[in-house]
Amino acid sequence: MKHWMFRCKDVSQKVSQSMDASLPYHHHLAIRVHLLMCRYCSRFRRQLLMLRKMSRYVDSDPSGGEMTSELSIETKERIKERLRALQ
Amino acid sequence: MEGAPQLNSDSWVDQYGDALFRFAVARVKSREIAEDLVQETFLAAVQSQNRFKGLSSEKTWLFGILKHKVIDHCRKTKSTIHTQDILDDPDNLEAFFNAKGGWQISPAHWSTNPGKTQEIKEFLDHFYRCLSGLPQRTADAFVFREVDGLSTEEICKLLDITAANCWVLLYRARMLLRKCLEFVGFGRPQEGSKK
Repeated sequence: MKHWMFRCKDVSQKVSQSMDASLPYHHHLAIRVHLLMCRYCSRFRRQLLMLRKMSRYVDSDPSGGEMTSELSIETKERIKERLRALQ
Repeated sequence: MEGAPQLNSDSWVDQYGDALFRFAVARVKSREIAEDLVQETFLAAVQSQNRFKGLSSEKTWLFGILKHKVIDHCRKTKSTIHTQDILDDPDNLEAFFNAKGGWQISPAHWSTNPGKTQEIKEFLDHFYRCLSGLPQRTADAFVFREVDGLSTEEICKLLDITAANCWVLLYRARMLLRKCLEFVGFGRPQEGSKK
């Protein structure tokens, strides 16, 4: 029985690593057990998933706000000109 | 006569210009800067189109480029929250835990399914301020992994580090980011969260 299984410090590292690589089965299992018992590490894991979700977020509110609007026709044309010049 | 296959950059601008612009303007709070960032994004995309692998959608790819530009821009502004402003010693992740290896300060409960546009906007505002304040390589590793979706192997090559180093960088980035987001007030204290 490895001691690290019960320490939040080590579990937090393994939870992070599990988002980038597959872990050996016994580590995976130990984390699962720890997460069942530890609400703080569970929160930590959900926070990391939230960071991932928001990193990949690719939309924006189309509905308004004083600055939230569209590119002007002129700006679009200017950008298109620059892009054509590159090609 | 044009022989080479023509990249349809005009349609990119029509199709994605507004969405990119809205994302940028929400982060940088200035129409002019946002326009510049969107233009730079399209220019960079045209120049690096041969690196577009088609693994993600065009939209995701363009947003990825824009996010790099937003972070670079934030680094130059005062809105960035530097890691050293919230931690005495950002290199010492041990400080997050007590002598027994338990959390020194318990992670807060976050609303991890923000439904409202306003909630997402707030989160993203803080997120980019925090992300741009991380040490450069730490931020790079995180952005490569989470924004660009690169594998650990690809990140190792780009940063010239070992896989173990990469995991350490990613762990550090995540720990510092979540700390920073809690520092700016994300996640409300829940009753009974500390006993």
